[in-house]
Amino acid sequence: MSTDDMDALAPGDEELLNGLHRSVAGAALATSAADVVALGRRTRTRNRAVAAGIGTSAAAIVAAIGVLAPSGGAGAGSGTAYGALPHAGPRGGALSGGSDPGGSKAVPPTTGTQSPALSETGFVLDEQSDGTIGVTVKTLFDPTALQAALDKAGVPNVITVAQIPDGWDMSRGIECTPESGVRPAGRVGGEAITLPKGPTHLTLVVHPSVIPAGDYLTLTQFQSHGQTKVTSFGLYVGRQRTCVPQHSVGSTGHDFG
Amino acid sequence: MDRGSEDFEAFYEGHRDPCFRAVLATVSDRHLAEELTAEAFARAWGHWRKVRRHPAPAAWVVRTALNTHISWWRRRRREVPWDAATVGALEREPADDDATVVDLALRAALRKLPARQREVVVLRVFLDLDTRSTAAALGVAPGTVQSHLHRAIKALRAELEETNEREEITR
Repeated sequence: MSTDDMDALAPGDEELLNGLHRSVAGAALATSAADVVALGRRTRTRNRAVAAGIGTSAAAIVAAIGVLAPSGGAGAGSGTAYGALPHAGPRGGALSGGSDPGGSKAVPPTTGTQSPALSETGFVLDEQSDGTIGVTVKTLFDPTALQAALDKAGVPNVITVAQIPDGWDMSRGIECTPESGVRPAGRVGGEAITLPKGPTHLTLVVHPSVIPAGDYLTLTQFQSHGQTKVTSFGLYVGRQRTCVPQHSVGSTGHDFG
Repeated sequence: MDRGSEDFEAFYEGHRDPCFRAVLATVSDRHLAEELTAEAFARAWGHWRKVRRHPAPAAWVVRTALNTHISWWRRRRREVPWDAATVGALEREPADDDATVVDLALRAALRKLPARQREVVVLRVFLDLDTRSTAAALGVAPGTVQSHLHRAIKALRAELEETNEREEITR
């Protein structure tokens, strides 16, 4: 029997598959070729840098975790962090935007509507007329850029990118080891930071007027070999200076994928 | 622009929508499907010299996107519940306003298929690959593809009938 014969389907079967085809007919990917190429180029550059041994050995990477964050560390206390979102892919920044402090849209632009220039820093920040700040975070390439944008918007913050040690058991979660004096802000955190329904990527709505003095929006993005794995965030009392990873939950037997 | 980039862009323009539809049908979340597809194409660009020699480069893209989705889902499943209630639900609703009830039922049935059957259906239906090309893309024998396809169709049909019966009962 030839493969031509094998391709033949009963009319009813063909109809079923046609129905499946029709179920998404007309759907189109808005992302431009230029954006995809830019994303691929960035990723390749990062991968080459990692392969070339920047940070040299894994031990050096682990040792460097505590000082990686240009803006100080972030805390995410076990069972008390406000949230942690794993990311869809190694370069979730594909669809990310850059700083746009003057923006007025409640929802950040979606795929294909962003210029390549907005894909560099991995976030979009939109100040709303009601005083809230929309923050959409993808893969952060330069945490100081987000920190500066939030500072300018009047949001006290600690933004950190931390590297996940090789071999880390992600089934037990990951968080920064809380430093002395740093603790979750409690109920006010849920008022200061909300998560609107919307796209799958991480979008926070920050209410600066609700944030008590001495509290910080603390956001830590855990990355591995240039890929964003988890972003944790919350409102914390005190400023976390460094991020030394620790497990956040008990082991469930899964390996880090 | 070099020849490789021109090749890739021609490939991208010719296959972006079919690949996107294949991923969308499988994950049923438009935003996620966009991210996964763009990500997979970016990887294809990064490995274009290798991918262009693949028996079916579009199949490589779709499989990469769906594998990324599996990894994402495994992580999300075990990490999202991390005190999510403090600030409200983190779970997102599928963003696909255009789909009809039948469309959603078909896609739900597709997602319930075993991975290999689902791959065969996706490559066959959305990339319009024949049995031989599908087999080459998956690295299996043509007979295996045919077997998976027939089992998949049988399972899809059964799932849809079950859905219809449930709807009849609820009316």
